[in-house]
Amino acid sequence: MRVGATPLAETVVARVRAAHLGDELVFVFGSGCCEGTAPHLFARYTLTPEQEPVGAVAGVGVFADAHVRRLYRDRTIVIDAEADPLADGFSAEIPLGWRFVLRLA
Amino acid sequence: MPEYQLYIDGQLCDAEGGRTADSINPATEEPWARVARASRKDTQRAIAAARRAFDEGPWPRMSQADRAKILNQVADGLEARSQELAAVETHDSGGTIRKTSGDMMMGAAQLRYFAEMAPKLPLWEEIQVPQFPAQSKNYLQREPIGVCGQIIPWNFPLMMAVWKIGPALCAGNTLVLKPASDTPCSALELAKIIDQTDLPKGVLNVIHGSGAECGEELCTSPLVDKVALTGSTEVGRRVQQLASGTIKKVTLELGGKSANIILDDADLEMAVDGSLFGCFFHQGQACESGTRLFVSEKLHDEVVGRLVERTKPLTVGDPMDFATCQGPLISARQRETVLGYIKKGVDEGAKVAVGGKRPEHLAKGYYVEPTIFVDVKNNMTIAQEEIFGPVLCVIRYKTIDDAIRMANDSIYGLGGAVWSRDKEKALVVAKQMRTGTVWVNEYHLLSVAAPFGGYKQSGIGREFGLEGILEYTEVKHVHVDQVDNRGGKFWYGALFGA
Repeated sequence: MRVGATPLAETVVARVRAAHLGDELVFVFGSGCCEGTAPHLFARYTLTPEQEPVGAVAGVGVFADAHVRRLYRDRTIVIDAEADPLADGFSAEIPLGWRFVLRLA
Repeated sequence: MPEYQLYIDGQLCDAEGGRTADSINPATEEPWARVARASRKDTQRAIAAARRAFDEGPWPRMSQADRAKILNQVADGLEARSQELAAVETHDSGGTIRKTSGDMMMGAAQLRYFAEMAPKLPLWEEIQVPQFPAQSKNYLQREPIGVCGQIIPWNFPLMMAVWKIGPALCAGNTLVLKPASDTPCSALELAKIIDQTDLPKGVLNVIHGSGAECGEELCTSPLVDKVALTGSTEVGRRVQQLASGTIKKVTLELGGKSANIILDDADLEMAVDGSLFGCFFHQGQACESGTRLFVSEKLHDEVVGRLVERTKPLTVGDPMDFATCQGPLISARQRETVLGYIKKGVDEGAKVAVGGKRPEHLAKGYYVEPTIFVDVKNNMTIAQEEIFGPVLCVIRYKTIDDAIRMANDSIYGLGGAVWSRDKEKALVVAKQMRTGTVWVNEYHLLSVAAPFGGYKQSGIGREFGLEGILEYTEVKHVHVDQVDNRGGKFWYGALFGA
């Protein structure tokens, strides 16, 4: 599994980092249900033993557990960002008006 | 366009800075309502109102009978406007009008259950304990926990609101409810109904905002005592982490990939329709949906034939039309996710027996055809991950033990079912399924009197029944000494010596 990002996503990550100075950020993935495998950017998140590093976006580590690694095995996924005034999740870019999405390269 | 405000401290109000967002109708893909969008500050105001109402207001100290009366007033209000609210719910969520009409009536009935339970809560009871070393009388006092943050999803917006506010209010708590950003309107209508009842101000607050701002504030504020979430397992993990800083009570109702097992002696007409109801109801957007169907090698082809035959006539279209069987999914994002899983199923070698794509006759709306996969192995992605759409996986089993083993081979354990003409045989299977609810010859029928919740990563805690209401109470043990003299307290020798 390989992880890339669009320039827009990298800009949004930089903005989130500026809003969370001093906090460690990580990307993890949703587990199905209401948000599919959407990428979540969290500050001060406790990784589970199952979540392994699979790449980095703008200096932020990306971690995925076994089912996500299997889902995207031999694929490149690209983290992009969309403007979304109605985003509901807990991901850190949402208060800034963005929502990270996953695209397949 | 209808407009909705937040409901904080007994007042309808705008959000900070007048911020709003438009709610999209999933059938038309067009904005249909404008809703105030809460900030972290708005959430703090709502929490402060709930805190004041709990610490200083009459609600927690009100008699149980008076609380019951008010819950019944809410039920009356909901019943009186149920048709109107069903339409609001359909516009907001894409649920068919058949489904949302049922939701409103069930919601009112469920509120009445919580009203009925209020006077029955054992708030003060004497218990018997071993009378050694001390003679004592012992009592349990049950009190409301305090301020509850409640976060709900978009699949059954009004019912989810009732499932949360019902037990919380029954036990005397105050609360801040955050409906899903996609479907805020029915909860905000409920707030208007509640505003007309005798519920003291500040007891119930409704805010519309994101998890990252409002949800996070509810989880981390030291003024909130308990958080209850219905949502995805990943969000559940995050909520638990955020709440851990202040050791909040947390109940979580999360995802599922429930197993539905048809035994060889099942009534096939009933089992087939029941299994389709179990998977396709509300377009598969229910956490307890029976999305893995286990059928024996012997019955497989006949069952699949019947499933496909019963699926083909299901009409997909305008959810406001009473003739419609399947409405749209909640959003473009969700449709993309479901189509992605369908592609993954095909890529991994499963076969589409029916459906598998967007309906050709519908240019607008987030629709996906009800889809059945065959030749599914239990370890495929589509069999292990929650798709949250109308996608059924049919998996063959050789023996019943095989079926049970595969049923339990999941990180989830929320729902499940067994179909058999021999109910005793079905019970033997049901008892071995590691899951929170098992239906025998049925699916989806939850009862407000029976606990509902998950084993494993499907959640923590239970909703409904006395168990569910007690999750909204703290319990205090009061020990009253009956020895009544210093001489009798020989155990003080541990400190003072003989």
